[in-house]
Amino acid sequence: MLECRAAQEAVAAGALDGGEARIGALDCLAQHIMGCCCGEPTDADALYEEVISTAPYANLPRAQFDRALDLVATGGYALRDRYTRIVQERTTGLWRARNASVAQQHRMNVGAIVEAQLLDVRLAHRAGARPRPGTPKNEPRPLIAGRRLGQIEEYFIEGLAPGDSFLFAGEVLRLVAVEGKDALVVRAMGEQNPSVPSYAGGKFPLSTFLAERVRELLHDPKKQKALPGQVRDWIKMQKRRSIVPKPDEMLVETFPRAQKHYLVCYPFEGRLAHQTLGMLLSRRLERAGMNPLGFLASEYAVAVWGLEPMGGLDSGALFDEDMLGDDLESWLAESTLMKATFAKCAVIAGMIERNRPGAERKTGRQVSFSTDLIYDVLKQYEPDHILMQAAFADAGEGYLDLRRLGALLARIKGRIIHRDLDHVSPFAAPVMLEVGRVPIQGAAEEAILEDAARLIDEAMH
Amino acid sequence: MALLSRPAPLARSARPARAMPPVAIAGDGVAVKLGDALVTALPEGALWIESAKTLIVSDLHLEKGSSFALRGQMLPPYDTFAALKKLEALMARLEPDIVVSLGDSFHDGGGVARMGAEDRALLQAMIGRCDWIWVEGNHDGRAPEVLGGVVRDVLHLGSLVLRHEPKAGAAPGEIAGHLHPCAKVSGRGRSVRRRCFATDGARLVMPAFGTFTGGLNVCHDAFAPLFPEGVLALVLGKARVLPAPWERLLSD
Repeated sequence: MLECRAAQEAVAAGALDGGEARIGALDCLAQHIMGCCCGEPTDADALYEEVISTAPYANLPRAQFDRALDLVATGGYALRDRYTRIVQERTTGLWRARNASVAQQHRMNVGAIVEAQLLDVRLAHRAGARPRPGTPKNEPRPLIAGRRLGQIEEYFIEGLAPGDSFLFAGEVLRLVAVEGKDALVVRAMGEQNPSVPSYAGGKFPLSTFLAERVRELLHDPKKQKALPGQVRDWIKMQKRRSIVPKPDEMLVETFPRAQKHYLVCYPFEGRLAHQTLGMLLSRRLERAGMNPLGFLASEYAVAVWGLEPMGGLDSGALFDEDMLGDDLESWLAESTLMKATFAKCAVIAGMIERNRPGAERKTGRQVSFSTDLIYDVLKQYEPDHILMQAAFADAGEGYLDLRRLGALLARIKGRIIHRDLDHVSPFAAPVMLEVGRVPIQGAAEEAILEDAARLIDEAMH
Repeated sequence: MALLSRPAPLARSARPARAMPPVAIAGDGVAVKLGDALVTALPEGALWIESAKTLIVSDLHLEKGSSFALRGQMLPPYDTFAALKKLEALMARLEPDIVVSLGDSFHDGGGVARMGAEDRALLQAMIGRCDWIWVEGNHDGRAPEVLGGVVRDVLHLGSLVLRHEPKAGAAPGEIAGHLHPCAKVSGRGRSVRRRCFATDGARLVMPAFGTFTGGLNVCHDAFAPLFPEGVLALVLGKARVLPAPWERLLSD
């Protein structure tokens, strides 16, 4: 709502966003090369001329083009392999697909948008009254997938545990299990507090420019008169429960919720800078032994959550400018963000196939498991592989805004207000509903395993 | 703010924990009594039998990368080297008399021929250092024989029986692979999915040792006939093996 209002004002003032031109990505280039070679025998020199005649690739050096060509042909590894997807005709020197099946596989995997994976939501019911012979008496009868209610993004279901309820298709449903591409649910009428799904597909990053206007709006009571009553109430509630910071201050709130401890700050610097801040913050918290589990960045806030209460932290030290000196790159290399970006690049460049002729589509979970393994191997043995470079470039463009972040840290120095609350604040509420949670594969994962192991230990003694 | 809070998760009472084999922490590994033999699960995913100085690994799936490359998916060609290096480091530390590769040592029958010269030399040097036994798998059969070592269909080691595919109803003391067990452990609103050993004290299924090998959740139906009383997962943590009881395991 605030963002809409800010956008309205911006339109009235005639201030429009300019989209920044993107530099052509290497994974898309690789797909284009493969596509050309599948179509007809292709001359590498002519293709290079054609590619650099387009604006995004105008500055592409020939060496990079050749590396992309090599990526298509052999996988582009330093260790030479004998296997190829495209071959050079001996007489003409033209490149073409090695055989028809390679070309078919390529056509089945064309596309530069790796969409969120969807699961079918199905009503489940128990199988017939008599259990299969041999199953123990108390074993629950197997679930049968029934009517399909619709589709939901996989990441949302991933965040639920069996037994959790959520709103879907106008009903309250309880998740029973996920089997293959189906999320099995039962009706759960009367269930209190179901989760509300949000859709990553509907996530459209607002510009940093707009976020700035929101910040002004929030700080200026005069401007707030134009806001609807509910939003004004929301701001009033925030004043009562926590505090609405002055324009030059940054608010940090800490509170416990659902067995986890949250730290939310509100820099209003836009999603990109917040992503980076989230990464760096969680890394610091990891070092401070707070066992952060994940973070989330929205247009105006960053939330980090973990296993330990974070109220006692010195927020001045936490947001110190020396944060940027932290080894961002090595953190990024370990992050799930980077792995996800790599997976997209690998799919687009054709290293990993989404679809195979005759095979049923796999779910995202199965695919992401194997790309993680591939990423780890490549990071260890050939960290400067062209796809790793492509992934770093993508992640850098998509998730880092170091310039804005630096300006923010300088601006808020000595102006951080910390409120340690006993529950979630009105400002924090929308952040908690945001999509795009980034899990942290750090000590917290080991802590979960150790939790389980401790049960065994107790049972033994 | 009613919509923000989630209901407390239901207690998972459907699966009582009947399988609780005696386990003991042994360094970074976990020791399990299997029949009357004591075996130690190591965090690398290998099994160590101290009394027989025997090291067991399963489902190496060597040359899986090149198998995919043949079909046009250019996976990084470092998987074989990575798996062999991991095994070599274990051998250097434990100095085993016997090394058993419990089947599916290669991803397919042609894997041995596709192996790079450097990897091949490394593997053969390792084979030469001890008594090396290949147990036949469904992917590779007797193919690795040409590299040295001996091939067995089933291997008897004292009271233990080592075979690739676990047999439902086998006598206690069976060690097998084939299924690539993985455990999804829940806790604190999140879950962690890792490779694991699966055991009920009578038999044990080993995790896959290979670099690109995926995993099958131990809650999957394929494990049910093997472990009718439930299973204890010995999960491969970053630096040590962590036992996770049946009640804490989630299906995918």
